[in-house]
Amino acid sequence: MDSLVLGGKRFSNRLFTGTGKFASNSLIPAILSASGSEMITVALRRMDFTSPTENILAYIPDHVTLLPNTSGARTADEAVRIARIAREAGCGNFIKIEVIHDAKYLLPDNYETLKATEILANEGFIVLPYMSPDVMLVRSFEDAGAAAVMPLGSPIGSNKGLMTRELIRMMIEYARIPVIVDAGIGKPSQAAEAMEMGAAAVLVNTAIAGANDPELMASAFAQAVDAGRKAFCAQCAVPQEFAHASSPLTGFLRDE
Amino acid sequence: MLVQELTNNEITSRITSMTTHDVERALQKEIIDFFDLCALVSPAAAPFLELMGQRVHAESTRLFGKTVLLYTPVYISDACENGCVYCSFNSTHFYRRSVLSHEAMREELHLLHAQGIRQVLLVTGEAPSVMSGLMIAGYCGTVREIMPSVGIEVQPLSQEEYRACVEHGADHLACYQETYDRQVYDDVHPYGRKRDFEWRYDVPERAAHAGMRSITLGVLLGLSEPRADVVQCALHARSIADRFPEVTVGFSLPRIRPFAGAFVPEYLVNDTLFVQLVLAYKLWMPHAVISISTRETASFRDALLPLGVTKMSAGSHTEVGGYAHDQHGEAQFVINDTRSIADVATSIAANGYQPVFKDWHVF
Repeated sequence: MDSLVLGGKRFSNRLFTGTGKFASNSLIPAILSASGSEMITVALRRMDFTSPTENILAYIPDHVTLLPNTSGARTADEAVRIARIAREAGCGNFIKIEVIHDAKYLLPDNYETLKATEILANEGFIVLPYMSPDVMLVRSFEDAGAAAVMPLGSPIGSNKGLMTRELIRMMIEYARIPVIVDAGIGKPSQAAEAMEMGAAAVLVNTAIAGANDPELMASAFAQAVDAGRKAFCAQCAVPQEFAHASSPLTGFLRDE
Repeated sequence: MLVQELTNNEITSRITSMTTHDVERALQKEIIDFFDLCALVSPAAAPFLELMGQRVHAESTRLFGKTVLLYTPVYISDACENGCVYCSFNSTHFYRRSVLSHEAMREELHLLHAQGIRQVLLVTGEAPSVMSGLMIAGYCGTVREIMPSVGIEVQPLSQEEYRACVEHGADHLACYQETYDRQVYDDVHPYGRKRDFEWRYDVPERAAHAGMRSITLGVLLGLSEPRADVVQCALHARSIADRFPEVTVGFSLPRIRPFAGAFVPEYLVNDTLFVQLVLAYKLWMPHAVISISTRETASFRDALLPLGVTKMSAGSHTEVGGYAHDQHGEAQFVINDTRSIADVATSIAANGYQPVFKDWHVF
């Protein structure tokens, strides 16, 4: 079975989802059901353990792996603190590191993210760092103990797709850990493209939450991710850039 | 052309020269510049309101989702040494001023917490001898015992005082320049510390240096020509966002409402112009938060939901001790949306949006 293994857990569905931006938290179970997603991310700063009716966690079925994120952290120290609090609150060992101090494009700080990755990996967290695609940093994240890297396709909420596709492709080429494209995927076709390139999974939030029919969109994304993954596994033929005769330059050679 | 510091009159002159062609050009661009902004606030943009609204709706849905953050203001002191002609806290209005004790504030906060509120905004007049910056910092600390998020809308403080507030848990600040027209500013602030325009203008920068995460700017619509004032405020906000990219910048749009003293504003900002100005702010800075207070009516606030509004006050009282205590002083302004917190939340949900109570936590 073609599954993705992260932190010892096996994920047969390579579409990860989020909990932000929905018109109602009651949509979350429907999204998870429609997509079959097995991993969902939640910002710790949104979790309200003092309010039974407002706690997002109450809407997430037990079989779905919780991926708390450190949204709001501006430094490695803040991310580490949030991660530890999340684990102490019973949110498990998975952590998505988000270290952002850019309120305009919400671009992550790769170096602070790397620092947090190393600290948290050493503490036994299954670390999924959200990062700007920096091909040379992939090995650093691996050495720091990241379970995967999560490069952005384009800025959070932009729905612009894989603006960083060439860098992501190079990352997939260099990486020895899964590359999960996170942020900016706006259409199922873009998710399929990421999977065809060899991404291990994609994380989609805005495009589903902002759709007129989030449940239907979640289903569409699931199908696209599945299609893209199958295409990758089937090793689609490399497209030829030029039409060519069978052997135009060497056809004159004959066996002697 | 570099956009230098311009006077309101110069900006008004630019605005009035704008044509529908300028508006169309602005709406075809992804990133709005100063000229585009002048076009978008100008009378020439009136026919394009629906188009502007559609774009803001799409952008805001992508960036913020279908959520609205609810918070409640808590007035901890109405003592004030200023003479702002438009405000009921004006020092010439003789009524018993009061300061909320920490214990009384805790009572208010517990009441609000039981109703779901998780973010409060502490509000004061300006009377440092009664409520200094360090005292305000102490109140922030007390709020943080009960609420995960606290902001301040208080007199301009020094950077050290803002740092103290941040260290005691404050994560956001609101400070409205009231008007960027220097002459009008002098006229409406005849005495008191508030007369110092630059000291107030530099509040966002001092707060940002002190580590404040979120800063909301605004003008008091009606004091001066509103379109130029909004452009000035937008420029001010952009300069803060450019110099401090880590800060979440937002806008509020308080409109002058009647109060004890019956100040009559020189300019009328009707609902149509109000909406145009909201949309202009959002097109200028799509990531900016737009906060609408209970000065506005319930029906108007509900209608604004799809137009980029991401934050609303709810269940507000603008007197000191307005939630838990019978002794009320003067209200700072008249509340036009008197719905309870639960009713506001229900209405938001009925309009297809999620009322969010907790969106921040200083860990």
